[in-house]
Amino acid sequence: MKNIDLLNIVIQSHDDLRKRRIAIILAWGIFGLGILSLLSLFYYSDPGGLLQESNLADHDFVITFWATILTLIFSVVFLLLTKTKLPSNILGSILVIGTSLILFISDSPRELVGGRSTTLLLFPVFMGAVLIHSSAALIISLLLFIPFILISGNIMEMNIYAWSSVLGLALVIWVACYIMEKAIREAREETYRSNAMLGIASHELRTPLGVILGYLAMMKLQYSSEVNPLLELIEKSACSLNEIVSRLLDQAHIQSGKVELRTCEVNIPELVQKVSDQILPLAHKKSLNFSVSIKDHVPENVAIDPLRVGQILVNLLENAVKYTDTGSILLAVDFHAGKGRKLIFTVRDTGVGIPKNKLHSIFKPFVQGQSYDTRNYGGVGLGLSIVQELVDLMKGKIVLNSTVGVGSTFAVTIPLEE
Amino acid sequence: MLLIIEDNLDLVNLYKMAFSLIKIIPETEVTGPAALRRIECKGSLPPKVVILDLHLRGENGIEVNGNELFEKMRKVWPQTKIIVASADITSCQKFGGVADMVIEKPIVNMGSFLDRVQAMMT
Repeated sequence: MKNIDLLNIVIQSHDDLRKRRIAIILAWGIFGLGILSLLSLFYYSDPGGLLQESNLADHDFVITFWATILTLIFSVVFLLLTKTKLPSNILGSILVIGTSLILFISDSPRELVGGRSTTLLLFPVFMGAVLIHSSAALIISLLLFIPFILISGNIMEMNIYAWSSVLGLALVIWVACYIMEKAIREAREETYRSNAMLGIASHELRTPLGVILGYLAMMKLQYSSEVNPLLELIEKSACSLNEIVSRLLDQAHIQSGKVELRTCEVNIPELVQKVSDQILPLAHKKSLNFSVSIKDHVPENVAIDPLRVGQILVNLLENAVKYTDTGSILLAVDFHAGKGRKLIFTVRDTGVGIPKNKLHSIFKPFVQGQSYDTRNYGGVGLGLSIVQELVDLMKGKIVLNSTVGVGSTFAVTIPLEE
Repeated sequence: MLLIIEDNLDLVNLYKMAFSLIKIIPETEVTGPAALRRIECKGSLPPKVVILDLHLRGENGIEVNGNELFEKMRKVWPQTKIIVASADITSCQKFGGVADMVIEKPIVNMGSFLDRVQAMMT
């Protein structure tokens, strides 16, 4: 049951993250359109001014109309995605409905307010008002009235353009504050959810696995003289399961921003040797030729995160072994001196290769080269996704070249601190 | 003396079975509060080595986690070597360089683990 909960949390977390990103983009879209509307307001409130002298006059209606329509679409999608409930702001609702009605029943909206389309401009302004919840932003926007009152001397003397400008400006600030507040709140919720997920995954999945593997290790110690094929089989499956759980946890850790790079002076030949020690038994098991090449000009010691670079190499090499049935695997290390010092690791195999239509998605989570790969080769398709995330974290890049039936080459470039 | 603070009874039994191979009979505490009582008890003999699980069960609604126990043990038993055993990678990283040994569960290489504990006990 807990496993199902965990899966749901993982899916939900990915889903929410995507939705939140879209919602923030939309919200900024609304914000940008608000500014556009505001500029238009200033344009109309400045008859004979600099803006009026430009050629914009011919397009004023078109610009305002599309700004309004786009704001409406963005607002609706934003509301649907974020499931934001409309606040019980009756005034705001009346204004939205009212301006909408004016927009649609009027033959010539320009005639409504002194021959100008201010009514149209008010629509996105009030549509945005419906989205607002922030009390802090309310205070800021109310404070905006003070200079206008001071200038005009009497609030009642403010004309429609001044009112519209103040409201527009207030709205823009209000929306910006709302976006920020919402983003911060959701980021906190997401961190909490990620932490909860990691807690469940770590303790509830790995603890029983630990017991299974621990007893297996004990049994192997006690019955080492007797080769028990059943024990080997159980251990193989338990280790596979443990690897999958570990990969899921790695992925969750990286995505929740919990992974921090710990850079220190690392001896490259030693690191490569350590990685090779892990890969050699796997390669030998499949009778593959595994070789390592370190170029002469590669410095012996460089400042990198040994754990994470090691993880990148192990993931790439394990993949290479997994998808290569005959031939060889090469790990090459190169160094780019000069201004942007870089360390380049290349993993080349003579494996099955990746089809062209999969090249763009191979670094995404839960994607493998072929749809039948999960059954044929095992794993859940997280290895390369983790590699990509780690390379991004190091501000590096990864380049993949692959031909089906010939093999694949992954080149990872890691920039070094000056 | 070796003290195991672990709330999973299956793992406790596994530890006992494993340590019996190297002739060590460990003492155990299976909840956070019980372990805390033991540390705070003035007459209690400090163990040579403690294997500490970080996620521990509470007792009657009282929760004491492994981090608190670690801090307390460092104060009360400064000579005791502490092995932090956790399935949580982040916790393992956090205790790296702070604890005397950090073991990431599951313990796959039991032989090597027993050797290292035995070395700490002597």
